[in-house]
Amino acid sequence: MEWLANTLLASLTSLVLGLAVVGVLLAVLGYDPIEAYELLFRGAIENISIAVDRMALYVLTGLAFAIPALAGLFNIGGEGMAYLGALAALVVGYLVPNPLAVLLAGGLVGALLGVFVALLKLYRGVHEVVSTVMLNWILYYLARHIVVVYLKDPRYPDVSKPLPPQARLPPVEGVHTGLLIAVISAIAAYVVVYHTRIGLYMRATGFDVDAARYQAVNVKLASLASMALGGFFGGLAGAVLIACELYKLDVALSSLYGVGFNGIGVALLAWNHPLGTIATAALVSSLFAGGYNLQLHLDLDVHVVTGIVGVIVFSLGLPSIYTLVQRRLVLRKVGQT
Amino acid sequence: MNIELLIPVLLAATGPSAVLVLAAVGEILTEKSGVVNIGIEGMMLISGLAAAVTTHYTGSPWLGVLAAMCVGCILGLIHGAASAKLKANQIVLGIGLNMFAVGLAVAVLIAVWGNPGHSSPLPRIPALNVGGYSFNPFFLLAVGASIAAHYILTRTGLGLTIASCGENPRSAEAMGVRVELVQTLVTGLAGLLHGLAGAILVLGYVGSFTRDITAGRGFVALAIVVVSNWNPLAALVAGYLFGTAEVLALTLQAAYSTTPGISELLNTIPYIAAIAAVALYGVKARAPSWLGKPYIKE
Repeated sequence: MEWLANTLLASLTSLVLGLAVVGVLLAVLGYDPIEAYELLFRGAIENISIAVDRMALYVLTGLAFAIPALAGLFNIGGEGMAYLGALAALVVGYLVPNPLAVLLAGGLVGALLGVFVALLKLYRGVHEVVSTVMLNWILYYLARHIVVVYLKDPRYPDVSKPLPPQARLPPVEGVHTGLLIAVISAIAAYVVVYHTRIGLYMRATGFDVDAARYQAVNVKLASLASMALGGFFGGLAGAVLIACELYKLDVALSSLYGVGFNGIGVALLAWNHPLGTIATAALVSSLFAGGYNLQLHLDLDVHVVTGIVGVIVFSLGLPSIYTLVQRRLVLRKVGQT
Repeated sequence: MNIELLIPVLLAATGPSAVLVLAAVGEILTEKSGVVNIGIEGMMLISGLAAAVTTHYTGSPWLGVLAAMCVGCILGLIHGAASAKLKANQIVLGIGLNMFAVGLAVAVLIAVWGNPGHSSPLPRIPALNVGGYSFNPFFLLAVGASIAAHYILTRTGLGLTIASCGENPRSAEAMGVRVELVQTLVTGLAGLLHGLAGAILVLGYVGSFTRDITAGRGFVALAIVVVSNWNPLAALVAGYLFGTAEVLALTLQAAYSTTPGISELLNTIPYIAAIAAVALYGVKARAPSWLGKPYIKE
């Protein structure tokens, strides 16, 4: 329990730090930071439907980072996986108008992309950070190319043809299907990572590669499996956007831009625990819903919130924040007794 | 291909390759000392922004370059100190910086130019013209930086000191090297080069600041570091080749500008080239042994 309290405190510290740094920044640029905070917090409630939409995606891209991270790999490619997943979901949806096929298509192409990244690392020595970022850009332009040339809706500029109604998963009795899928995914990921043999291998590989090897853990298989699973959820994020939320894709991919990067923040805030991503995705998506208020009332841009998440991620990289918090806790205890 | 057509491409490539070479040479220095910085992208974006804002208010692109170098150096020192002194997770720091840079760029663009996407056109650093051939003056700087870095790393005691921190910090410490200080300062120096790269991107190549101006160049620079096997002279060659690929893609785009969807496809060329180059030539490369691992004294 003390471990849980410490990690929660560290995450909270980084959140406060993120809000503080961006608040100072806005003050320097001539905005009223108090007003900005108020809009940000109110926005989470006022724009609750945006928050829920985003939350479903962030849980999934959070898993896309968290699972490989537990196996010691930095998957920055959640962004590209989501692009590819959305694209596959659309194409399969046109051909086979069935929601299950649409979702599976998105997940599978994401998993294949993850396997490709893992193979590049294992057999050609290409560091996953470099390959995933390059793939993000390649897939960004490729997806735009495919939407412009093959999937464009002739009636509207800059939007793909809509997904056939039979392939959609609209809310069922007020329950957001995308969020439901995301929560089930997080639970499934938790079970795989913490309650199966391959999950143990992944964690052993991430904890200490050499130790894992001495214990005859198949490190290559663990890396491949973690990237395949992470990639599956990354691709699923794109498919969920198509099947459950928008039913189409815009040429600039603006509805997906940033989901992968914010997923990294979600995962790190949850210390890469799959179940934790549900809570932290709620938090980060609330920030983004608040960001739309900044756009609406202060003429700022929603991507200012990316800056907040950036500071959060940066400060979570500093172990001293964690130890600082921990030390204060320990000291207080000593003082009390 | 006709040689007459090739010369303008080769000359135009001096702009984008100056950016890539300086970013890669900076990264080679910091990685040789054992610190990995995947935040080059964010550092170039923030320093490019500093260059744009300074030039916008003073009218002098040279002051803009200076401001970018200062900002880059400060960011490098922060990354260096956080990595060396605080034993941070260097990859996570870089991811955070890259994200923060996007938020910062958007907020400053709105505050200064009133829109989240791009600045107004800025006064540029003029091209050099020698005998009728005009090229980017910063390319000479990039050549100089890579030669200097190669000389320092292979021919001086300082280079040995830097490399010892990245290969075996424990032995370095035993030899009296202050590992944490060396790593921090080298990363600061590298930040200065990243800042310069950001300034060139804005003031010497594109001519204005846009939100996505770096477009993965920081990560292409990381790929160049691996392909060049941590050799600054090889990074010069690789950087120039990538710069040429970029210009070729742009030239083809101009030729096919009327066909929808083609420019997007051509945009992928530099990134595919980067992955392919690392996959083909990165296998034999050997990274500094202690790269990216925090050195914790016993």
